[in-house]
Amino acid sequence: MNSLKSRLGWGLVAALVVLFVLQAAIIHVSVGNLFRDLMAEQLEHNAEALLAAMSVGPDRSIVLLPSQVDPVFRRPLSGHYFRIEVPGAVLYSRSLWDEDFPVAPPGLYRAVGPEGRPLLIFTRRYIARGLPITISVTDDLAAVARRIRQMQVLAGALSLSFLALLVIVQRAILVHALRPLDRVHQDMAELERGEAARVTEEVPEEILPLVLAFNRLAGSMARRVERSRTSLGNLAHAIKTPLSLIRQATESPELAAATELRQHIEDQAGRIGTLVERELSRARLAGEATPGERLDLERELGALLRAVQAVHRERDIRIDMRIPAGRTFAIDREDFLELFGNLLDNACKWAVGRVRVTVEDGRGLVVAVEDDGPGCPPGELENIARRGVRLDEAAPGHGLGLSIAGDVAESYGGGLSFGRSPELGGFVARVVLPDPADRVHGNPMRGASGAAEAVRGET
Amino acid sequence: MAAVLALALPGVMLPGVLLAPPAWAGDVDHSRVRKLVESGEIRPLAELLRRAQEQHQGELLEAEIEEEGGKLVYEIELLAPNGEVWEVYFDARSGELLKVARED
Repeated sequence: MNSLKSRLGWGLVAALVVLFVLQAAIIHVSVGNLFRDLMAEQLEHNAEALLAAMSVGPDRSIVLLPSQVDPVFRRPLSGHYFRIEVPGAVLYSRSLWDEDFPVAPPGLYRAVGPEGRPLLIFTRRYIARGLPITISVTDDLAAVARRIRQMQVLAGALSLSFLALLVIVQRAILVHALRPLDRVHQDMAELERGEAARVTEEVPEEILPLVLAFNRLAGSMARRVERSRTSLGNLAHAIKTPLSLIRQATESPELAAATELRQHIEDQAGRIGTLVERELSRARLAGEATPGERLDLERELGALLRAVQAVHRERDIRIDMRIPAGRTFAIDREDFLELFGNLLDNACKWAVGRVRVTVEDGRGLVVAVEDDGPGCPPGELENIARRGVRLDEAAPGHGLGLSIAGDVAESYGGGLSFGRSPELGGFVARVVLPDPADRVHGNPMRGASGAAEAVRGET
Repeated sequence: MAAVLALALPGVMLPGVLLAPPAWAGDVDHSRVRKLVESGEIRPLAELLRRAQEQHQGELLEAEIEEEGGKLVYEIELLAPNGEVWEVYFDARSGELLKVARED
């Protein structure tokens, strides 16, 4: 029952059912009362007519004026009976024949009469012509009860159909009223896929505070990530200068004699440099936590190619791009530049004259970066792949780029693989990133823990 | 008192009262019927009605007791569901079934 729709739905149905049961009960009682009141009135009227039609003889015998007696009192066992009592004499209606009905005190009573049929008995005492006279008149309840039941069944059927109609209408209203929630849900999914930066705030005022809070949270998360990136960048800069000073210091003549010590300091300084680079790249990988927008691959890769080409200006390298038009992907811009910047830089370093970037069609993002350089012997491929983990063995400025690219790919739940380009003949690095919708959630720390393991592995 | 009632009631059964058939000389008045049943001389209507309804389905429309040659004959008229009126005759004392007939 943890759904607003079912809670509201069942609540309203329950309220409606209670309402209708109550209404049915009221109808039931009031219809019964109405019939009884009408019958009581008729019975009283009959009793008074009998009182008017009767006279008592000198020997106290009861005489009725026949023309004023209703014929229903004549037909045997008709259910309409009377009994007139004066001290010393009783007169029964002909309809009672050889039967009788129970004696009841003055007022209105139900009783069982001849043939086991239910009767309504009205009894009243009169004083007329100097004598106490008791008149009891009855009416057949069976026929009336049948009619009351018919009315009640009709009312019940009407009530039930109204109830069903109301439930259907109420369902429709509910579905309509909760539609904005579906839209918010959709927006959140888009936000997660990086297609939107915030959830629409055109929502009913009841959920507006929630949406506003969510948007505030998304905004502050994005700002926080931005801030930590900036401060880590600042830290890197701050560390780089003292580090290069340390490196310069190792060149000093005082240390020329202590070759071993110098080597040691250089090694450790190099290691600190590597670690700083690595942690910096990791910090940039927080990408997934921010609600990023979708990047236009053609535009971004184009800009990147121009930048890389400018770096390798002195060498004449042609870079081809094969990208399906209009292709976008949800990835943090910095991560994207980090990933492909490193791959392209590596390719340009080794290429003789050609580099090719191919974005393949299909779900997720699959990109191959090829060059026409010497490539890599099959046995070495494994080593390069491993260097992604064992940074300290990487050739300076070389394996590190591939390693960083691998980290970025990994932080998006994807991976990097290497091989020989079938067409250009050189090295090929292939990036595979799954679609954000297919990504496994709840593991944003994977990149970070991987780094910790790598650091432990070195010591 | 029976005499008084007997005196009073033929007036009730005037031909003018439409639902009631004319009271013939041989008819037994209903207050006498009550006394005859109470003294056990004739069978009660309820019993004969049940048996009449076994003979022919229908609602009780009218009941009469006539004296025919010293014999009390119970005539029970039934209104069948199809609208026909049937008459079932019993010997009022013994309860013996005498005749079942459609009313002419």
